[in-house]
Amino acid sequence: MPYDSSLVGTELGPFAYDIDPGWTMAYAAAINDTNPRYLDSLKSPQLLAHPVFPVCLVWGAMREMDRKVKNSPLTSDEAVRRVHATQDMMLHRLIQPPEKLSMRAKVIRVEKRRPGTYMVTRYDLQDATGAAVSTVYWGVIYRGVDVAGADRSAADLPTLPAPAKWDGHPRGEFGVPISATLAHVYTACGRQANAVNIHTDTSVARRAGLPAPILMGTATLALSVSKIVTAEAAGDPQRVARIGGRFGAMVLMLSEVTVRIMTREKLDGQEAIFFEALSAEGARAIRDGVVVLRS
Amino acid sequence: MAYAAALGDDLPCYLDTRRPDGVIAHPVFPVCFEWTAASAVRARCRAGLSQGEAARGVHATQHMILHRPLRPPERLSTTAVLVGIEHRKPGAYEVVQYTSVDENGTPVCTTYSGNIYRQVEIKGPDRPAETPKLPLSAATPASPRAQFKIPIAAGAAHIYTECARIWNPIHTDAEVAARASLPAIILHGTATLAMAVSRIIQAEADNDPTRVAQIHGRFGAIVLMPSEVVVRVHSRERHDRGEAVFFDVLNAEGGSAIRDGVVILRQ
Repeated sequence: MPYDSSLVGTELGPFAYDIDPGWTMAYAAAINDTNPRYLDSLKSPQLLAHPVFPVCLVWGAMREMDRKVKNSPLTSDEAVRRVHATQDMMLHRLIQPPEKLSMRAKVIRVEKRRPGTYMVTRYDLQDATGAAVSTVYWGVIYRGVDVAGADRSAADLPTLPAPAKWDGHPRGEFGVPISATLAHVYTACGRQANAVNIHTDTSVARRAGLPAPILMGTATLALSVSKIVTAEAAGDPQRVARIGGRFGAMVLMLSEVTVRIMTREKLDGQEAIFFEALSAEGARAIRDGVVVLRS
Repeated sequence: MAYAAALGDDLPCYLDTRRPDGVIAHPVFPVCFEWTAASAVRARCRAGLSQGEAARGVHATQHMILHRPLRPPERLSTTAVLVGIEHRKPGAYEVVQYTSVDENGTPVCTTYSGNIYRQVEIKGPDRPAETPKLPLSAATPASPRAQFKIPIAAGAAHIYTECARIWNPIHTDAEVAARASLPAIILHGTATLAMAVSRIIQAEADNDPTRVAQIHGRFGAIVLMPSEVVVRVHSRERHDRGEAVFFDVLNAEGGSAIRDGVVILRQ
């Protein structure tokens, strides 16, 4: 069955979250980021959550959104063909546990693309005062699924900045070992409620046509951001204002990912770090990656 | 699966859901669901203690009797009974027995877990627990039968906490650890034990965790992070209940993190 584009404009939430320090610390630990700003309550009396941590909150809202989508004419076989394709996170500030936050979700775009239906949901995270904490644009593709109705858009989709120039020489490269059990650890430490999926369950991965469980795109992204914070932001995650990228090649476990920082450029008074992440086979697991740093 | 993953143990029997019989849990996994009962017992046992006294409780001993492997998904129920309190040199020693049964009421595992409340007296006479006897090693050889180095990552306790669903901030929060007079956060004793058991299964049980019938150890020296521990397998001896593998675990400073360690393997 085709994907119903009238889902655009669907809103869900608010979803309430109690963010405890144990959760944010575990998330950093799962990606082996030992920055004391995340982990050491003595050196950092106000602990911070890793910049990619808001994805843990998206997962909760996404489950409800999935129910909506599954109630549409999509068959269950079509629904499981969803892959995470794009990510754009605006970080108005980092989460400071303990905090009570709430998230609203809205489907803002459905359009036909060559591989299938592309859907973008915007997740707005607010604190108890109503102030914006982060905005996440999460794009998925339902492979081989058509769109019913015209392409629809309920809001503008921000454009990811691209490098003005790159001479082809990486500014930095980092090998990141991917353990055999990383997806399980990432799932548990992120407190992902739906823990049985293509990332953790061999049978489910095989049914989805994958050779084995694959690492989450957000895990690869978080590993990359950790390297960039260390190398380009002097270890200060509060400088991260925006994170974006497109997910491509799968990352298998046990393997290694190479984070390649291509260039650093001034961008509207801030600084943009352009990067990509390569799988062990040399394919782009993340392309068009960008981390924008506050000055 | 997450529990095995937290230990870095990627044996297919824990993680590969394509296996005809499904996956099984790591032998030390019962500590995860016993934690809920343990919290309830602690709340009751510590009601008569001051906050300072209660905070001086440390996990001292662990003896697990595994009647059969745990095959998720399963519904189990656990009963906790305080089976002994006695005075020991460091303080009051309590033993809690956890009995976990499946939906048919068939025992799955029985655990005797001991805590010491440092510098806390007991009221009334000693009432020591009656616990199953363990085999003793005939003789400790001059050199270990095998030894394994295990790297302990800086975030190992945070990961173990979430994957085991055992939340005790002394292992994850530097400020709480400092208040307990510890130099830093420390790794859970059960994490060290589980890592040691993983190595023993690989080295002594042909990677077959279903052979593990009993696990015992006494917790001692703290394990800091990042660091490295060494599992020393001292001997393997025939015993009427199977084969007993005697081991200990040393922390990076050479202190005994686990002593009197025994894993009994089914034949």
